[in-house]
Amino acid sequence: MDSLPDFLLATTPPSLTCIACIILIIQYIRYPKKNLGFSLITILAVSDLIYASNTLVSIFDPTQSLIKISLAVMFFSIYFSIAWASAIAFLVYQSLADKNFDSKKQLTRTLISVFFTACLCSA
Amino acid sequence: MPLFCIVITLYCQNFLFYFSWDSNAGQSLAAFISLFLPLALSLIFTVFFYMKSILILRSQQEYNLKSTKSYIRSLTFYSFVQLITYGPLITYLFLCGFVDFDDKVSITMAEITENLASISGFFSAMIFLCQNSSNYKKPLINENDNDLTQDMI
Repeated sequence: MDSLPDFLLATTPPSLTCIACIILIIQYIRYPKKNLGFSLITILAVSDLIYASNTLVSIFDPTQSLIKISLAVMFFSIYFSIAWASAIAFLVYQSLADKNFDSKKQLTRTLISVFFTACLCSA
Repeated sequence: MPLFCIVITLYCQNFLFYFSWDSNAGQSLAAFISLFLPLALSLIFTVFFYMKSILILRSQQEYNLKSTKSYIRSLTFYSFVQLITYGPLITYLFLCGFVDFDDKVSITMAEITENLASISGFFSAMIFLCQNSSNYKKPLINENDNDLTQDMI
């Protein structure tokens, strides 16, 4: 980083994301009634946390000794986040449109599909 | 369905790689499809399904007027955040396929779009936490099974 403002500009968004996602994940672990919406958003938060912490690691490691791993993690997490946001929108729509919506089955199926799609896209 | 379309684009990418391995134009087209199309399709599907959900909720407002309005607001915020945070990154990737930016412009645009994408998690978490902090404190207004939104969002 050239200067302090540049450094702050680069580190503030991922730091904020890390803090917010950690708070959300802690709330999910502590909260007894885990409904589908909470699970969906927590999975998105885990993926965003991975992306943001990877961004922070790449800022703080100027030698970029782990550049291949960092790039793979970055592409995987960004594809997963965007595909998962799309899956959330689809599941919300399905839960409203379909009266016989089975949330646990759909969640597991969608999670597996999005995981493999993100792996395929980032490969 | 959204995932099906993403997988179709991946097959298109492999198809292009297979038939144009020696051609630079074919390879760059394949790279463009693999980078840009899955992201763009996901974003389009996100906004499309949120809009359809909002339409369904609006047509069923008689179930639980107050909570339905707040869920519509949350869905609008989620789709807006997705558009604002990932939209510029996807537009940048799209432009990179057609326009040759000079290095300085390209680096600045990459930094800005990456920063926006990395703050997406913060906004999504905040919308959910703000929405739920008010929902956890008060009992459900209508515990009728017909309130379609109560388990979902």
